[in-house]
Amino acid sequence: MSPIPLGILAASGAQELPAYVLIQSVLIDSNTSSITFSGLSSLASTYKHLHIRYALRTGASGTTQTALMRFNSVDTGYARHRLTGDGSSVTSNNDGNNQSQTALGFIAGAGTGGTYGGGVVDILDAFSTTKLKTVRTISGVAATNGSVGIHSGIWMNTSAITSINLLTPVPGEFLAVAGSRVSLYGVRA
Amino acid sequence: MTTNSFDLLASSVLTSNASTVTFGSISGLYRDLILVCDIVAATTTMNLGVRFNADNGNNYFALNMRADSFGIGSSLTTQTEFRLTQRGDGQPSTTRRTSYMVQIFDYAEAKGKPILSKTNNSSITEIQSGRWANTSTITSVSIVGLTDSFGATSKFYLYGVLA
Repeated sequence: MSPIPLGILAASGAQELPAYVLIQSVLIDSNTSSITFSGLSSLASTYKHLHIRYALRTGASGTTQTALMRFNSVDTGYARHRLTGDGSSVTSNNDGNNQSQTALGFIAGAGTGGTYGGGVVDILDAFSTTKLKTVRTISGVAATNGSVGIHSGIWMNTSAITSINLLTPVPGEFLAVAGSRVSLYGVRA
Repeated sequence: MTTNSFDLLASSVLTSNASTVTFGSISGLYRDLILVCDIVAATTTMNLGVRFNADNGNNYFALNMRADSFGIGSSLTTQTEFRLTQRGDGQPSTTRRTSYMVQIFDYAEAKGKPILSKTNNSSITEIQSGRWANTSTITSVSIVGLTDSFGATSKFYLYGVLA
């Protein structure tokens, strides 16, 4: 099967520009407590948005856990809302303003026998210096006591995003164990 | 020049009814697969699902969350295919076209395959977290009509995502 490039045509002519471009993949071969994408300022002239895809399993003993994300190593100014299904009911949460991080989404716990959680994250207008930063996530873990959810987040800061730090909310716990993967893409607009 | 990381691998737009659409010989070059479908049923309301490598064992898990004509809800099921919807309102009919997007992560890795899906039509919005409990590389994706055939004009697209 030969791949057919899924590009967009530049408005000024027939030059094809790639719409989604891989920036970096982090493949986890040993337990790690955090993952950082840095040096992102160089992307600002080329891309409008950022996109993250992951298959993650944490070192937690439970089935599922919400992982966290912060920008530019700043620990203030985040807010998030969540809509979550747990296999029997649906709940919504307003986590309030001025949280220390926003949500990366659900990832799986190590206690589920190798189950990985999958998720996609869009960071809109990531390099704008006039807009607050909006984040949307769809993620889940398909297992007993698992979760599926939609998260909306905001970073109430107009700074361009220069780094992304993915964290576990539990001190001393591993964010990702071997076999996990996180990939970052630039999205042209 | 940088290259696209999302490539259209194959597509099918039906010109006549079909009970199954299969994309085979999938390259292992990519990390994730994305399946996008826009489906109308041939004769009635149809249930439908996705199978990998023709596996019809009880190996597909789906944890869903939805809002439909019955309200909101969530369920966890184990099935012989990854059902594209768990609800009647999420099934296409002859007049209700339904769109599905299925994300399949790490399809060539020796692990159970995480899945995310979205279902949308005029009667439902639904998301699912899924898993194919099999460590084999996915080499084929089949979209299977369980209670009817896919009607002509139904559309199926398979993308590969580099990582």
